[in-house]
Order: sequence, then C-alpha cells, then structure tokens
Amino acid sequence: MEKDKTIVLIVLAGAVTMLAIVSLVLYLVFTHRKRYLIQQNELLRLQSQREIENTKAIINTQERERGRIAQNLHDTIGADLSIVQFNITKYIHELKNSECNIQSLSNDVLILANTIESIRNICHDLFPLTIERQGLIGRIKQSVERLNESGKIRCSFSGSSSESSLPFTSEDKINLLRVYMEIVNNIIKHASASDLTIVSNINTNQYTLELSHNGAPFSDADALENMIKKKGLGLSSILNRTEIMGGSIAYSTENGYSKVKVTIPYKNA
Amino acid sequence: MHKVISYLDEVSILSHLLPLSAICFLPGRTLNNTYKALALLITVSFLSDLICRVLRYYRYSNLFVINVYTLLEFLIILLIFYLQWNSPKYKQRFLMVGTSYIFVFLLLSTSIYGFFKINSAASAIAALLILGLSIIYFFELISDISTPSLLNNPFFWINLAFLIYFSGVLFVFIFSDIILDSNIDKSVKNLWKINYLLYSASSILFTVSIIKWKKIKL
Repeated sequence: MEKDKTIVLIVLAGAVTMLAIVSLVLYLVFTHRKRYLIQQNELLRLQSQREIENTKAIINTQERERGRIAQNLHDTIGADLSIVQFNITKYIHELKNSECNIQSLSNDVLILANTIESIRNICHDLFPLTIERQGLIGRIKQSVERLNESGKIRCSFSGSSSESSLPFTSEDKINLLRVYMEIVNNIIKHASASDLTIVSNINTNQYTLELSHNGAPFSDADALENMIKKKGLGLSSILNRTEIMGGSIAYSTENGYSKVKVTIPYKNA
Repeated sequence: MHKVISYLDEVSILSHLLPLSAICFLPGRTLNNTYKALALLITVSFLSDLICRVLRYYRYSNLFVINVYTLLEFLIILLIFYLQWNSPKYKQRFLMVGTSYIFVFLLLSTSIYGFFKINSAASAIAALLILGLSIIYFFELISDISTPSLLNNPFFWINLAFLIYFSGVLFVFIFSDIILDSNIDKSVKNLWKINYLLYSASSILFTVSIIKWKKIKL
C-alpha cells in the first residue's frame, strides 16, 4: 500500500516537474526569439542606413565630378570654342570679300591647340592614369609647375621621399593624389593663399605630406564644423580617402602660416 | 469530476476524430508529406486504441498491441521530424536513430520484458528521444525569421503537442510495467489516465496545426 502511494507520488511529481520544464523551455524560446528578432531588425536597419549613406556619398561624388567637368568645360573649352566660332564666321565674311587674314587664322589654330591641351589637362585631372607612368611624386611636381605657370600662387616642393621609396599600391597613390588635389583646390579657392610650400617625407613607418600656405587660417575645429554643417564635401572626401588608407589628417595654424598634414602609416615588409 | 476521469479513455479515443475530421473535411491547402505522416500517426493511434479497447472488453491482454504501437509511434514521429527538417544531411542521423531504436526495442523485448509484457524502458527511451527532438526543433525556431510569429507556424503546434504529451507521460511510461500490472491497486492504475488526458490535449493541438496549415483562421 505504501509502495503504491510512493509510485503515485513519483509519477505525479515527475509529470508536474516535466511540464514545468516544458513551460520553462517555451518561455526561453519565446523570449530568446523576441530578442533575436529585435537584434535582426536592428542589424537590418543599420545595414540599410549604411547602404543609404553609401549611396548618398556615391551620388554626391558623381554630382561633384559632373559639376567639375561642366565647370571646366564651360570655363575653358566653351569660351575658347566661342572665340574660334566667332573668328571663323568673321573669316567667311572676309573670304567673301576675297581677303584672307593668315595671321588671324594662325591665332585660331593656337587657340585650338590650347583647347586640346585644356581637354588633356581636364582628362588628367578627372582620371589620373598617368600615375603609373609619372608616379605620385612626379604628378605632384607637375602640379607644382602648373600652379607656378598659372601665376596665381607661388609654389615650391621639397622632401626626402622618392617614388621608389613609396610603399603604396596604385590605388593608394591615386587616393593620395586625390587628397593632395583637393587640399590644393581648397587652399586656392577658399584660403586665397599666395604662397604654398609642399613637403613630402617618408621615414621607417610613415609617409607625411605637408602643405603650408599663407592664406586664411584653418584648424581641425574648423574642418569638423564644416563637415557637421555638411558644407565641406571636399573635406569629407579628404578624410574618407585618408581613413581608407588607415591614415590621419591634421589642420593647424602657426605664425601666420596654415598647415595641412596628411600622415599615412605603413608596415615595413 | 470523478465521472469525467472515468470517461477519459473514451474521450481520448474520440479525440482522434478531431484532427482526422480536420484532415478529411476542412477545405484548403493539400497536405504535405509531414502532414501525411501526421495523419498516419493519428490513424495508427486511433486503430491501436480501438483494438486495445476491444481486447480489453473481451478480457484479452492488449499489451502486445501497446508494444507494437510504441515502436510504430516512435518511427512515425521520427519520420515526421525528418520530413519537417527536410535536409539530406540529417538523413543518415535519422536512419541511425531509427535503426538503433528498433534494435534496442527488440533487445529489451526479447531479453527482459518479452512481447506480451509492457516494455516500459522502450517507451521511456522513445519519450526521451522525442522530447530531445522537440527541444532541438524549438531552439532552431529561435533563429528562424521567415515566420515572424511562432504561433502562425503550423509545425509549432505539432511540436508543442509532442513536447507536452511526452514530458507529461514520461514518468507514466517509466512505471508503465507497474501501472499496467493487473494486480496493482486502482489508485496506481488510474495514473494511466494521464496518458489519455494528455493525448486528448495533443489531439486538440494537432487540430490547431492542421487548421493553421490549411490557412483557416480560428
């Protein structure tokens, strides 16, 4: 009799315990699943937000490049071609009167030659294929020469780095060139500098590119403020490209000279 | 209450008709292989309960039928899980578990219990294995985001039925050789009613699952 009672008790207690365990399992499944779904949704949201930001960045870059192409074409080729069109129209009238001005035609040929040179420069500026041939230092030197030729700014280049000592891939060099071009563009456009010194140095574990100018002062805080106010797309592009290479950028002003310093670390093989 | 408990046997047998009616008469999607296997399980269970009832009426031992049903039930449930997971990589494991169980069942039946005594160890092993499969399936559902609500997943209800039924009857199965002994006290014999009660609950959950499958709103 006592044994029967014990069996009944064990079976009932066992059944109740097992059902309690099942309830616990169900509770765990439901709560974990809820948490898992929330995490998945958050991940998807972040992913989609990042995709949107990337797309915006791509679109902004495209628009900026298109704007630059349009502006360059308008300012250089457009104006030159208008002169050529005007002159040729004039010659047609002169030819009708059997008068041919050889000197004027020669001038137009010169304008056409300049126009072709402008197209070449725009193409170089848009897509620096020549980096493989000329190298990064070569392209910077060429840019310094052009800046000096333009007469807008007095520019000098010095440094310890030679092309062969640069431990960068072509992609990195194009990125660095873009960064350099954007900084120079900002110095000419916004800082109104008349004097620019470029120093390119390489040591055992990092490459530095310093651009010092006598234009409007600009600090890290100014750069940050411009980026927050979304004024400086160029500044964001400089920062993004520098960060892609694992580097950093610093803006400072000292003794009336503003300095932009790009530092790219690298590991020695 | 006492009267209700005394009729649990009949309620359990009749409860089979609930999911079977849903399978046969409810309009909607045709059954997939998992649900065909479930229909087979319910039919086998229904027939086995009927045969047991008839044998008991004529005072014959029905333990052989219960033993055969235990084996068939485990194999069909294993098939249901295999069809639900529907992954070739599990095929080998399911085959191994199925074959091992048949081997253990026959070994226990021939060496310890015999075919005409209730094989409580085989029943308990089957219950534990099915509980394991159910818990694994539930934890796999955690990372399944294809169905935002678990309650809308038709197989959730089948799995829940297995989980509740086999966890509730595990201790009944462990002591089934004592509980189904003809010389035992009636209070102990009544423990077998837990089996009837939980099977009736499972039948309701199977019906919910079939209705969910056929996309009929409750």
